[in-house]
Amino acid sequence: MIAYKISKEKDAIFCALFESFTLKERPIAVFSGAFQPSFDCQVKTINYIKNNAERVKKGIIKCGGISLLSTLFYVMRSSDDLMESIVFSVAHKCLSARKNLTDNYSDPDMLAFYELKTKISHEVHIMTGFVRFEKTLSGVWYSHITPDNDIVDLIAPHFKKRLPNEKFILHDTKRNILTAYDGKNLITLKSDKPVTVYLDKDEIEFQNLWQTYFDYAPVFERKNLRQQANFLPHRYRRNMSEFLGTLESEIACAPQVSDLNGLYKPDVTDDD
Amino acid sequence: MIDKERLKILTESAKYDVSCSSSGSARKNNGGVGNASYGGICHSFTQDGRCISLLKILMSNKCSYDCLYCVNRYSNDIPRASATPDEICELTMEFYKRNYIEGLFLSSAVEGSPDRTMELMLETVIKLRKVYGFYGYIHLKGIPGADKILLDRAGSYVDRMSYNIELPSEKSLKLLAPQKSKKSILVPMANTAEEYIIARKEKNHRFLPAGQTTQMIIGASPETDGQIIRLTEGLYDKFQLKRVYYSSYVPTNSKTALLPQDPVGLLREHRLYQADWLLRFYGFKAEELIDKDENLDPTVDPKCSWALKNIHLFPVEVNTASPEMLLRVPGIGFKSASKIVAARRYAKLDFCDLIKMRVALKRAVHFITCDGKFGGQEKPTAIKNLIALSERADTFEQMSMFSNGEISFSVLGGEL
Ligand code: SF4
Repeated sequence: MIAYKISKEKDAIFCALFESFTLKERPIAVFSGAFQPSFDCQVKTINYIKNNAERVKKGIIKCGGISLLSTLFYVMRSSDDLMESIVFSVAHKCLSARKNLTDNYSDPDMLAFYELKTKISHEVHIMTGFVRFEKTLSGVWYSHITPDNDIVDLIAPHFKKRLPNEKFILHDTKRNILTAYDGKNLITLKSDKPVTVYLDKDEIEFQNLWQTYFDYAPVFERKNLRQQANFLPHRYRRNMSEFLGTLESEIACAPQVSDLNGLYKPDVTDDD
Repeated sequence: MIDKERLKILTESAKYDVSCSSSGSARKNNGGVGNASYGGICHSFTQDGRCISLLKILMSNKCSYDCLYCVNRYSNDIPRASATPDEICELTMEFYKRNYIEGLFLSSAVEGSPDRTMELMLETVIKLRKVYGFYGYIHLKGIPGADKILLDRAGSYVDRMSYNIELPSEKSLKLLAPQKSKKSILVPMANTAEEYIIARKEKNHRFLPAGQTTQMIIGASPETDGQIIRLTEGLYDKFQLKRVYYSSYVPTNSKTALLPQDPVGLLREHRLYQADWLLRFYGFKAEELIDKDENLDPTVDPKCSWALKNIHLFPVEVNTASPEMLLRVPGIGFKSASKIVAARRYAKLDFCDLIKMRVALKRAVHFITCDGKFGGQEKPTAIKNLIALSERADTFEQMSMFSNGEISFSVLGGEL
C-alpha cells in the first residue's frame, strides 16, 4: 500500500495524479498535512512540478470542461482531513472514464465530494450573515472571522456589491488571510502580522444597541438554546459582538419552558 | 440616536410577529448602501432559536386598539414608547453597515388613527430610501383601515408588505379584536394584490418585489387545521401571497376566559408549516391533505398522513418513478429526489445507495421498492406506529426549518 504526501501548492494534487497515471499505481490516501499511515503503508513524497500539474489540468478540462476544473479547485478550499484523498479519487475517476462523473451519487467518492462542496457553499452563505463589521477610526470597516473552510475571498464579493462606497477588510484570523476592498477593487493577501484596530467613537454605542436588540428580540417562553446552537454553532460566536456580553441576556431569559428543550437533536437530517 | 430603553420597549413589543424573513427580493445597489439577497440571509440566532434577519421594530407601541391577544393592547399596563422616522432610519443604516441585519421590518401599533400611523411609517420608509440611500430589504406592515393611497404608495418603496389576518375566522376576530373586522383586513389585502398584479403585467418589478404575506395566530381561537389550511390555500390563490405565517399563541398577561391560559405547543404550528409547504412546493391541494373539520395528525407529518390514506398508490419503484411521484414519498425531499434522479442514470439504486444519499429511509422504506425489493411494512397502522416512534425524536428539530424562511431555503436548496 502506498500513500502520497504532496506539497502545499494549490494545485499539488494534480502532480499526484500525474505520478499515479504515469506509474499506474493507486495510492490509498493523498495528504499534505498530518496523516497517520498504517504500518504497512509506504509514504511517497510527490514533488511539485508545475508542468505536470498543468498537463493534468488540461486533461481534466478535456473530460469535464472548465467547470469540472473549477469545481475541483472549489472543493480544495475545504479543511476536511480527507479532502485531498477525495479530490484525488474524483479527479482520478473522471480522468479514467474521460468524463465528468461528479453527479454519480451512488459512488461514495462522488457523494463525499458533493458533501464537501455543499459544506463550503453552505458556509459561504451563512458567513455572509455572520460577519460583523466594526467601524474603525479611519472609517474602514473591519471584520475578523474564523470559517471552517478557506473562503474569505468568496465572501467578499457579496459585500462589495452591498457596500460599494465603503472600504472594508475581511480578516480570516485562522489562516491569516485578508481580503480588502478599497472602494474599487478587492485584493486578497496573506499576512502573519497582528492587526491593531482603533475603533470609531460611536462603535461601542451601536454594539450596545445591537446587544439590547439581540437580548430582547426572542420570545422567552420559547427559549431553545439547542436549536440556536444548531443554526449558529459556538465556534462562530467568538467573532460576533452580540455573544460577547452575555450578562444581560442571562437575566432577560430567566423564565423558560423546559418541555421543549431536550427534544432537539443536534444535527439536521434531510428534509421530507 | 435612539436610547436603549426605548429600543428595548419597541423590540419587545414587536417580537411576536414571526413573518420576518428577508427573502424574495433581489433589489440591486444603485449607488447607496445595500442590496437584497433573493434567498434571504440570517444574521444571528436568538435564544429562542429563531433567526434575526431584519430589524423588527415598532414605530410605536402606544395602541388605541384593544385586541385581547396582543401585548400592546390599550388596556395592558406596560411601558410605552415611540421612535421618530429619523431614529429608525439611522438605526437601520448603522445596523446594516455592521452587517447585523438584512434590512428593516417596520410595524406599528395604531397610535391615534390608522392614517396617522401609516403616514409616519410611510415617511420613514421614503426617507430611508431617498434621504439615507438605503437599498436593503424593507418589509412594511400595512395598517388596516389606513387610506388606500398611503398603502399603494408604500408598495413602491418597500420589498414586501403584509397585513395580518390575525385570526382564522370572522367570529374569532369579533370576539378577540373588536375594533377589527374581516373586511378591514381583507380589503387592503385584495387592493394590494390587485396593484401587484397590475404592476407585474406592466413589467414593473419595483412594486413589492417580494410580494405580500400575512400572519395568523394559532390556538387563540377554536378553528380547526382543516379550516386554517383551506383559508391558507384561498389566500395563496386569491391574493397571490408569498407566504402565510402561523404564530402559536403565547399568553400576554390577559386575564380573560376567552383566551387559553397556557402557551400553545409548537407542534401544531410545525404541522401547519409542513402542510403549507406541501401546498406551495409539492403540488398538494388542501382537500387532499385534510378534511374541513379535522386537525392535522400530531403523530406523523402531513405527507405521511396523506401517503397512508393513499396506500394503494404505493410502493413506487425508485429506479423508475417520475420525479413528481418521488416527491410524494414520505422521507424523500427535493434534495434526495434530485440526487436519485441524477444517480439512477448511472446504475440501479439499492437501499444502501439511498442511505448514503441521506434519504430518510425510516419513513421511505414503507413506500418504495428498490429494484423490485420491498423492505417495509404493509399495514398502514403498523407503518404509522413505526414512523411516529422514529419521528418523535426529530420533530422539533425540523420545526425551525419550516418556520424560518431562510433556513428552509438553504436546507432545501433550490426548491423554487
Ligand atoms: S391593533 Fe395591533 S398593536 Fe394594537 S392591540 Fe391590536 S394587534 Fe396589538
